[in-house]
Amino acid sequence: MHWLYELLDLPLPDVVLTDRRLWQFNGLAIAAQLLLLVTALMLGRPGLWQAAFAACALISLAAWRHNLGRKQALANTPVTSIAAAAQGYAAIEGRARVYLDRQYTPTGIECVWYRCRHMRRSAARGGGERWQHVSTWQSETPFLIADARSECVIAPAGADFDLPACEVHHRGEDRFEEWAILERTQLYAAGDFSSRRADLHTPRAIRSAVSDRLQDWKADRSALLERFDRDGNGEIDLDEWEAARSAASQEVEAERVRAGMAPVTHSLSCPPDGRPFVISARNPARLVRRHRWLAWSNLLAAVLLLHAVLWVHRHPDRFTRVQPATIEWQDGSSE
Amino acid sequence: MPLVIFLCLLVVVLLYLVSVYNNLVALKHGVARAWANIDVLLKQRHDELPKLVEACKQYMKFETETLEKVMQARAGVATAREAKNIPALGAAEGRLRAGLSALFATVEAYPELRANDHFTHLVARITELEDGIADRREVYNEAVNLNNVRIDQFPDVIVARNFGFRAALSLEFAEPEKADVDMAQAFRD
Repeated sequence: MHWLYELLDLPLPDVVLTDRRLWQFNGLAIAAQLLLLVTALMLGRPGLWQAAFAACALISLAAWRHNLGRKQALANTPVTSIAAAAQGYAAIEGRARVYLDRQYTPTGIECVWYRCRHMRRSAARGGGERWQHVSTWQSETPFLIADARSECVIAPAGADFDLPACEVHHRGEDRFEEWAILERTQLYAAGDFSSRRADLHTPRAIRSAVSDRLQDWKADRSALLERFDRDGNGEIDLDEWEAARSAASQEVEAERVRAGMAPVTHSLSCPPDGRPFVISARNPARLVRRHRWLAWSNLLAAVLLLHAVLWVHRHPDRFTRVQPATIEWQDGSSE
Repeated sequence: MPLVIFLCLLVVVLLYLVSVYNNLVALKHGVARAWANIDVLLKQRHDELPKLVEACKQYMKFETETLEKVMQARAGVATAREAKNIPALGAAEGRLRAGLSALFATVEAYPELRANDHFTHLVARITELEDGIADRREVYNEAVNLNNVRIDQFPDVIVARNFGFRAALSLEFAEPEKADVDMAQAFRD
């Protein structure tokens, strides 16, 4: 959003890091609407005002649809324990944990994830000072969210983070704003949930595993004879081969049951269908309320803007820029 | 021009109704997905139970009635699951859980069976599946609640009634699952 502040030449507020796409989309919509209205004001023709209002109404409708879609996706997804979450879009809660590597912010805060924004002091138009954005970077290392029974790997690429506050550090003319998720922070996350476990449950997988086991035994003939050549004739006859097959099946079955007990790896990542991927350290109901508020305010704006089109149609004179009058003097000159 | 504006407002209203309809569809699919989430574990447990009973039969020659009850309850769960009959599934699930707790109590009298690796793995696997089913039941009921509240709210109720969206049934396990297990009784059985 810093670009919008720079465009409007406003001082950057101490904003909290929040739902990135929410502000990007709505910020872009507001900027486009302002641009259209300013253009209409400059040119001052009723037809242009009508076109500008109509285009603004369409933008508001698009913003309404966007916010409503995100609100519905979050509100329709019940928060579940990690072990019980369904495959696909899901919302979970738990505490942040380190997965692969502990992360450190540029100023050395130990955390599981961070984002840093580098600002530099510069002279503002008309005197004074302003903070100019230099760069923003964030850790992309996965981290864990753990509840009482399970853990879920969070791949943060593409996520919108909603975190309560940032640490601000100054170094000369530079300012670093750091948002960090510390270990054990309570988090809510909604995204594309998937689980993986050693898969030995399909009949084909079982047949294949039995066949592989028999091949392994056949490769070591002496061990095979020692184990299954009951009559000691140095050959594996049909009955003995059936016994070997039965033993292989039992072993695979025991392994399958054990594999079923193996811990499952859960992961949460950016949904491919455009639904929100949100990681929040605050009450998720806030996000839903915020999207709902934005959706309805945009719908109201769209209706008012459509009304404005009608208003311009009825009162075109009020939207016509008054041309400076030409005064003719008695001597024939004019100004 | 007023006609154009009227048409625009009509489009806005239509868009809103489409959005309400799509939301109700999403909620309905949410319930179906939550059901599928339970169903997959019910199927897995259905496949594991005969192996458990087979393992028990080798040692528990005189406990046929207990094993029979488990298999009957398993069949009841399977029938209700296939018919997607939620109230019947809740009742059958309660019977199955009661049967399993009676079976596990009876197993205490068979130390050789308890020492069997295959049996202990199966018990652990089935217990894990039972826990998963209980957890996912809560998620399912939450999805049902979201759906049912939405289709009763205004203005969604108008769209819901006109397009035949119906309230989903929540899954409640029968009392034996919820009541404290009477271990003394289970041992007497």
